Amino acid sequence: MDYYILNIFYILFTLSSLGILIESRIRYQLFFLLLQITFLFLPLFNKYKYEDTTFWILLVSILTLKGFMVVYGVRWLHRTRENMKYTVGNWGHPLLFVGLIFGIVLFYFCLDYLNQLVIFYTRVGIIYSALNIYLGCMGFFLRSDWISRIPSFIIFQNGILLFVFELADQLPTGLEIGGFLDGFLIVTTMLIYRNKILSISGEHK
Amino acid sequence: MNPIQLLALLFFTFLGIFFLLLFTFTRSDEKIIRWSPLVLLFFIITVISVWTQYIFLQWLLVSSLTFVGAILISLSKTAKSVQTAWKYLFVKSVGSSIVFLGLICILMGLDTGADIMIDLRTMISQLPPRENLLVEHGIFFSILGYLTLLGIFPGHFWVEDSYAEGPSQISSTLSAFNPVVTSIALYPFLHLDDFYQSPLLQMKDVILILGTITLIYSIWKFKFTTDIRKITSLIALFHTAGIAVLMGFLPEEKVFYYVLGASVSINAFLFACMGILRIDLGARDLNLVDRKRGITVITTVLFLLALGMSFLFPLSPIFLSEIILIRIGLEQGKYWVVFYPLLSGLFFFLSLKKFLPLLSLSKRRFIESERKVLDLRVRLTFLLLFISLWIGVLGLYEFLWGGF
Repeated sequence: MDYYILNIFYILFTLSSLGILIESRIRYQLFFLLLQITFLFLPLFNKYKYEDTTFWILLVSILTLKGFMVVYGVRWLHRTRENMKYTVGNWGHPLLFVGLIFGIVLFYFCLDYLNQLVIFYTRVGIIYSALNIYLGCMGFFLRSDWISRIPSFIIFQNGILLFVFELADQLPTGLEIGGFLDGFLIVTTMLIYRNKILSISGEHK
Repeated sequence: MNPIQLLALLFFTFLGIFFLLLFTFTRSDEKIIRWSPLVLLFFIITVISVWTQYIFLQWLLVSSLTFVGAILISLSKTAKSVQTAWKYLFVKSVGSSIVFLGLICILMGLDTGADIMIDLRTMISQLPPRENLLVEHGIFFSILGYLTLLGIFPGHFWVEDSYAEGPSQISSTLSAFNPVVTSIALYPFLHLDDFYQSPLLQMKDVILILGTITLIYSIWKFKFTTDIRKITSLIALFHTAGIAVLMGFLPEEKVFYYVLGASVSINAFLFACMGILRIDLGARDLNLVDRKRGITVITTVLFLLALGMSFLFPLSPIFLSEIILIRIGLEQGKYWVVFYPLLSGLFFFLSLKKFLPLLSLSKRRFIESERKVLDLRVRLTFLLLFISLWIGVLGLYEFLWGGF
């Protein structure tokens, strides 16, 4: 695929992460999440061949674990929660701004190292995956509530998955499963909360 | 101790805990028989994880334990336990992700195309020449992630609540098996770091520092805690931090497995005693104990014995582990190692100060409504005590005859 087109998609991928961090309304957070997950198909189509079984496994995993479970799970958890603290920020935008400045300084000092990596591996996606991992970490500090940190974890995981996709030809097959931890996290969280709801309604008795 | 002996110890300890769970579960109205396969699954994953040599598979198993553990914690069915389970799940998932990132970096930096089923020996043989930033960062991320999964500073804050809010049998399972699985997964990376001799950062020194901070944190937090469950959790955290400190000295495999075995037997025994004490006292906060209600002699003796076994009782495997730690430290010329048993002593005397007033409570028999459950609990706890003492005596014999 053309280098410039790929670059634009990666920029949009990163901007959607930023959108999730800045946006406090769940509806728009979900929109950005879906957008980001859609962009994950691009490196998948770019790096894997249709004939490989891995390609189909990954396609189904992205569709089910990320596309469906993550988005449905986040929405379900949001509705299930008794209090609506979901989108309340911990420190709000001032910390995001401080993080932005810190990130710029950090990336300025790491640029040489990152450039070495990119030149060595000729992978531009590595920089974008590093940015996404950083933005995910920022989200852990931004939100006050544990549940509201889920989208940040998804950004973090998407960054890692992008990293794995970029290095698909150098890493052993099967390692990609580590990029879907967020899907498993959502499923387990739903189980935990489901258990509590059933106990309240008395269905367990 | 070798891996097979450790597995045997895990099996017998699990039997004790599993029977406690099946026959004496009182924490909520949950039908525990329905959830027992999940506890069994937790144990099976633990066994495979201890047995396997493959680094990626170990990561996968440690991560899956997180998901199973979170569901088990939520069995208390209180709002607090659900929040705690979620916190446990989230923090440990982040830890798993960091380890995964590290694994990718290491595998990417290997000379030849790596196989997913790779063990430490193969990995070392495929490592590129020195000064490879990718491998160095990979080792750093992996160890940092595993430390979060282990509950060491700065990823320590899930431990206290998770062990305190779950049912005591589940806390027993988690505190006994979780440090073992995570430490065994972490151990190869320390050897990798030692072999690679990174000029940037020696991770064994980092582990020593972080482990020491966690030890001090647990003592400091203990001083202001009166909740029996939290106190027990902090003692478990202290043991986990002790394992981390020992790993910083890069012990031999048999010593490492022995200390893990000590942690398994003592933590299981400690949480079982805590469960009995909490029911018998009728309160979980020491400040809210009803003095008119009284307490049984057996409960008091068992809990004080558990405290002693956790720190300084001569036949305790933990006490022997401390002696072994001093010996390893002195052999490596690190004379400040005596600082750690002093911390242990400090913790013990602080805990005595908190729990000795229990002796002044009026003595009685078990209350009729709780007698059946508590009788069974006491019997099964004696089994766990026997296992702990057995490990302690065996270790002492081995130590005196130069085995360690």
